[in-house]
Amino acid sequence: MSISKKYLDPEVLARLSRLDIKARLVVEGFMSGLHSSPYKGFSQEFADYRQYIPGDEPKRIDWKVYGRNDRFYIKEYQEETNLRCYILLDKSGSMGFGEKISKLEYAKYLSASLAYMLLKQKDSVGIATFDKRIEEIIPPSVKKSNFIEILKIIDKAHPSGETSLSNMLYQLAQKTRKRGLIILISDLLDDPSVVIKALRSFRYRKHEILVFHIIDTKEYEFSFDKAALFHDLEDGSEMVIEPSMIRASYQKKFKDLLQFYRQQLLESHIDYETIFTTTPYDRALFSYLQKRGNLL
Amino acid sequence: MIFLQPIYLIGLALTAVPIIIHLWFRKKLDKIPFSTLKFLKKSEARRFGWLRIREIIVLVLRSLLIALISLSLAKLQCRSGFLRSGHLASVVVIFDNSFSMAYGDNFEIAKTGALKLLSRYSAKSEFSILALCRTEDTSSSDQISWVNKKSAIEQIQQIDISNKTGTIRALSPYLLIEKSRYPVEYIYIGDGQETVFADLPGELTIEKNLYWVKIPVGNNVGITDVSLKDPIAISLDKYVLSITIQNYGSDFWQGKVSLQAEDFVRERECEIRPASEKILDFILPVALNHGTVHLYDDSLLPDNTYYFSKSLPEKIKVLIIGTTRFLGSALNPTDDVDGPFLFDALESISSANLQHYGIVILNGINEISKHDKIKLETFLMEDNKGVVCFLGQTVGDNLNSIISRCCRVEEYISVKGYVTLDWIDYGHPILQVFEHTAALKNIKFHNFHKLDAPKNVIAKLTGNNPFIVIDNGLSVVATQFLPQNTDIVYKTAFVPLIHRLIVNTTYPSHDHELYVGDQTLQFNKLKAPTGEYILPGQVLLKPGFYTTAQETLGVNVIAAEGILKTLGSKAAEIMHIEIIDLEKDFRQDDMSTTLLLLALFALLLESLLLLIR
Repeated sequence: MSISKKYLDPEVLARLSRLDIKARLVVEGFMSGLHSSPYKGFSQEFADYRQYIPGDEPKRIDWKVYGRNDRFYIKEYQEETNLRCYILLDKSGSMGFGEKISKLEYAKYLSASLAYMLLKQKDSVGIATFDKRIEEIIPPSVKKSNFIEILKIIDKAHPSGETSLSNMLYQLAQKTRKRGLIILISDLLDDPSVVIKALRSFRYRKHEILVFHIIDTKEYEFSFDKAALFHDLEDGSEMVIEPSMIRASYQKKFKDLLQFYRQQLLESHIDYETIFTTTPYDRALFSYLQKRGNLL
Repeated sequence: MIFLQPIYLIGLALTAVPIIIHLWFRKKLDKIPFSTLKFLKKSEARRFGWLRIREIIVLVLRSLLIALISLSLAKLQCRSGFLRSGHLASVVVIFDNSFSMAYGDNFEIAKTGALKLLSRYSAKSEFSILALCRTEDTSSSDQISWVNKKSAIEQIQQIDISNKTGTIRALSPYLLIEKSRYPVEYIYIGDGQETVFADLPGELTIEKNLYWVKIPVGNNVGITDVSLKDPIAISLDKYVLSITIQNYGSDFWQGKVSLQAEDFVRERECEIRPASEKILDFILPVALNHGTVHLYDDSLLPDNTYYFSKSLPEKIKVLIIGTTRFLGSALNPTDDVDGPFLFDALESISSANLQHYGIVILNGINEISKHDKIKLETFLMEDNKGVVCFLGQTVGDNLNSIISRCCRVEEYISVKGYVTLDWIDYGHPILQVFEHTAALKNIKFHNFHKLDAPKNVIAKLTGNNPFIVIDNGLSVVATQFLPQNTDIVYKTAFVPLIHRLIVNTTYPSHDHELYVGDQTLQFNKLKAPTGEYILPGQVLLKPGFYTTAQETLGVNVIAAEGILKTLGSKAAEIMHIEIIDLEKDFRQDDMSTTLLLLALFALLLESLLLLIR
C-alpha cells in the first residue's frame, strides 16, 4: 500500500490529529488511485476529443470541429458546475458507538474528505450537524475559507441527543430553496418509515440525495459474548441483555431494516450506501463521484 | 394462625436476599454503551416485555421460595371454626372419662381436644375441670374450684379412664355456679353416650351455654349378661352358662368368644348383626362356678371381659300344705328321675318346722290359724324363702292377711262354660319358657277367685281377671289346680309351670356379681384384685374378682355404657347444646407440608421460566 493510499484506511486515519490533513490525505490518496478510472478529472480545463458514438448526448458535440472536419467529436472536459451540496452529519448519541473508531469519528472524516473534494472541484459545499434538530449549519459556498469553517463545525460535533432525522430534514427543507445534492451521513436510527418519508419530501423538491448509512460491525453482528447492562447512548436507558438469546433475532431485524432502507430509497431514486466503520473511505468517495457524474 | 417454631420466622428477612443479589449482580454487570436500544426495544418489544416480566416473576418466586421455607420451618398452623384465640370466660370443662372413652384412641383424642380448647382461651380465663366419673377423693369436695390455665392443663393430663359410667346430672352440685369472674361456659368433652345427657339440669341448656366437643365413636360389642341357663334343669355334673353379647354398632361384628374357668377353656366363633344381640351357651363342669368370658376383635375393651361367679342351685325343699294330688306328681314326676325338689306334705303348718323348707305351698287351704299366720310371716321375712298359694273355694281372714301383701281376694266365680288365659307376660322368668309354644293358650278354667291386684300380675284370665300375682316371695294363683277347676293338670304346661313358679317365687340368686360403681355395704372384708381391701361403703372402681372368706365376687362394667346412641344433632338443638366437631370446628392444620410443596412448586416454576426464552 502506498503512503497516500494508506490514509484511506479509517483506522490509520484515526491516528492523525488534524482534520484538514486527514481530509487532504484521504482525497489525495483516493485521487492517486483514479488513473484507470473512467473519470477523467474534475477541473474546468480541456481534457480531450473523442469521436462521437451513438448514445452520447448530441448537445455535447463540438460543432466547430464538425465544421472543420465534418466529423462528430465530443470535447471531453469538465465545466465548472453550480452544484450546491449539503453534507448532513448526524451527531446524535448513537453515532458515538463504535468498537475501534466511533461511527461519528468515521462520519466526521468522511464529511471532511467529501467537503475537501467538493471544494477542490469548485463545487459549493455546506454542512449541517444535527441530532434531533440542526445543531450547526454553514450554507454552501465555493470559497476556500469555507472549508476551514466546515472543519471547525465538524470538529465541534460530539455525540449527544436523540436522532430525529425527519425533524432535521424538515428544518433543512425550509432553508434550501435551490435544488442541490444532499449527502446524509447517519446511522439512520430513527423510525425508518418517517425517515423515508422525509427524504422523499426532499426528492420532491428535485434535490439529489446520497445516503451514507454508517454502521459499526458490532452493531450489525451484535457479537457481544456475555450478558451485560446495555446503555442506550441516545436516551440513557439501560437494559440487561443476554446477547446469545436475541442475537439471531436481532441480526434478522437489522438486516430487514437495511433491506427496507435499500428498497424504499431505491424506489425513491435515492442513492444509498451502507458503510461500515471499517470500510475504506474510497468506497464512499466513489459513490459520491458516481452520483456527481450522474448529476452532470 | 400460629407458629410452633416462631424462631424460624427470622428467615423471612432473607426474602430480601434475592433482590439484593439481583441488584448487586446488576451492578456487577459490564456496562456496554450501545448505539440505541430504541430500535431493539421496538423490534423486540414483546420479548423484552416478557423478559422484564420474567425477571420480576423470577425475583418474586425466589423471595416467595425463601418465605415459604421459613413459614414451613416455623410450622405454620391454621386454625378454623369455633372459638377465636384469646377468648375470655369462666370455663367449666366436663371431661368424659367413662369407660366407653377407652374406645380406640378416643381418650387421648379427647385430651388433645381439651388442651386445644384451653389454648384458645385467654390466659386470664379461669377454669374448672370436672371428670364425668369422679373418684372417691374428688367427690368429697362439693364446691367448684377455679384454677388458672396451667393448672387446668395439668388436671386434664392427670385424668384417668374410669370403669364406670357417668352423667352430667350427677355433677349438678358442681355446675350450679354462683360466683365467677367471667361469663360461664360449660364444655363437655366426650363421646356423648345417651346416658351422659340424661336428666340434664335445665340451667345448662336453657341459657344456651353448654358446648359438646364431640369425640367420634366406633363400633362396639359388649357382654351384657352371663347367666345360668334354666337353673331348674341342672344335671349332677354339668351346667349351662348363657352368654349374651350385644352388638351396639351399625356394622356386622365377627369375632371370637372364649370362656375360661381355671384350666377349663372353651372358644367359639360368633357373628352378630348390627344393633342386635346373640346368646351363646357354654357347658361347664359343676365344679367350676366362676371364671371369665372374653370377647376378641373389639376395640372397646372394658366390656369385653365378664367376670362371672355363680352359685349353682341346690335342691329346693318344698312343704305342701293341703292336697298333694297332682302337685306332688308335678314336683316328683317319677321315682327314677332325680328332680330339683324335695317335698313333704302336711295337713297344717302348725306341726311343721318351716326352717327346713325353702318354699311352702298352700294348696286349696281355706284358712290358717293365727299362729300359723305368724309362722308364715316370719318365714317370708327370711332370704330366699317363699310361699305359693293356690286359692281354695274360700279364703279366711288370716290367710287373706298373708295374701294381701300382693293382692285382695274378692268373690269366687264359677264360670258357665270356661275361661282361658287371655294375657301372659312372657317376659317374666316363670312364663318365658312358654313364649314360643301354645302350651298355655287353650287351658280351660271353670272356677277361680276374682283378684284385685294393681301390679305384679303375670297372667290374666278372660275378663281381665288376674290369674297369677307374684310379689316379694309370695305367689298367688287364682285357683287350685284340680280337675274340677281346670284342665291344666292334664296338660304339658303343668309341670314346667309349677317348677318355675316355685323356683322364681323364692327369688334365689345364683349370681355373685356386682358392677363397678356399686358400694360394698354387705361385705366386711373384701379383697380387691389388686390385693388391697375394700372397706364397707366404698365404691368398687375396677372390674375383676373380689374375694371374701366365703365367696368370690365378679365385678364387671355396665355394658350399657357401650350403647353408641350418641346424642343426635337434632336432639342437641332441642336441648340447646352446641356441638363442636373436633375435625371441623377444631381444626388446626399443620401447613408445613403444604408450604414445602408450594416452595417446590415455586422452584419448578422458576426453573421452567428460566428455560423459556
